[in-house]
Amino acid sequence: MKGSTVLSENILMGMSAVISFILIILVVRMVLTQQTERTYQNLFESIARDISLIIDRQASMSSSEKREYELPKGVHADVRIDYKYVFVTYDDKTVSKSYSGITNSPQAYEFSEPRILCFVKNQNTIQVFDKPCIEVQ
Amino acid sequence: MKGQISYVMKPMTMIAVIILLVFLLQSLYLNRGKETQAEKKLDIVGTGTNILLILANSKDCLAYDYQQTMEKANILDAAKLDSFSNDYQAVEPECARNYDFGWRAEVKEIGESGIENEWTFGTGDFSSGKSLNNEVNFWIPVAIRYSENDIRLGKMDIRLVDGELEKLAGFLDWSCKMGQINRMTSSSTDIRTSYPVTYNSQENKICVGDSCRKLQCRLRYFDGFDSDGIHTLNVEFKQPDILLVGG
Repeated sequence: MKGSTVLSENILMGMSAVISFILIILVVRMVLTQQTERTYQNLFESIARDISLIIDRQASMSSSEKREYELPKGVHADVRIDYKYVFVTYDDKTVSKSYSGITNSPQAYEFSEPRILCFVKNQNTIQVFDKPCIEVQ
Repeated sequence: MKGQISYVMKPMTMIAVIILLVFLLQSLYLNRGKETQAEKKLDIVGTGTNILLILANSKDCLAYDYQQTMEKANILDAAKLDSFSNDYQAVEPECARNYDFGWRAEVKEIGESGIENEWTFGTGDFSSGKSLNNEVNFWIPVAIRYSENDIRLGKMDIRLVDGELEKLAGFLDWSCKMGQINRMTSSSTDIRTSYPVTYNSQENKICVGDSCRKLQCRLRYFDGFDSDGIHTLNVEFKQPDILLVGG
């Protein structure tokens, strides 16, 4: 076989080891990427769940009160509190959570990348502001 | 001899590595499934608790409206109970409706001789069989107030269901409500059903398998789905109570 390269068993073993290693890296990377994306999405679902919970807890109170919710630091998301649903938009995705109470608000509340939200229950109405409760009259 | 061992060992090693990888992936996806189930359980338990508290304490629902500064918890107005029992026999009252779940509540007045009075309200039918995802039952002690000096002991039970019928009817009712309050005129979603879906236009009921729910708006151009699977629904609201449905 003049001019052709003969692959020894050692070279074949080395190549198969490299291919196996690359395959394992790719699989692990895929799994970790999916896990990271899921964790990232969970964060925004938790924000939507927290807001829904605050609205429902205030709806189930007979008295008036103010309650503050601070979004996790470094998180950039838009929040829309519409009829019976809270929508949290991040990157190009939106997650939503339902709530059971009613806010008796004539319009939806929309906030762009809020840092803090103040929920004010007064009589039968729940109002939401994107500032600390201490600044809400 | 060495060559023979190598000849057997190499494929076995490869198979072992593949099995290991499959096992790793399977355990990861299994954990993710468990995590999703735990989240759904958390949502249904939280929602059940909240609905009971809203029913018992919101003046929009059953709470007795004290004209005093001092408020009391879990005191139901007997007159409101009568009204709910008459008005909400096929659908949940709006003050505590959740469009992702369906529920039915039962309030029992407990006297010395046992149950002396009973009120029920909420949806009449729930998802069943494969279309039922989860359900919980809770109760809380309540007081039922007939008058200033007549307050009696009671309990309020709720059955809360997470199922395909509740999701489908919830989406259609929410789209209807959003149109009626001028917030949104069109919306769309993907719905998974385990049974064919039918629509009874005479009674304005939608059914998943044998379970049916009455809808708030009347549907146009919708005959149901002949098969199970994932279906795309696009709806557009027309005043006063019409939903145009497209696939």
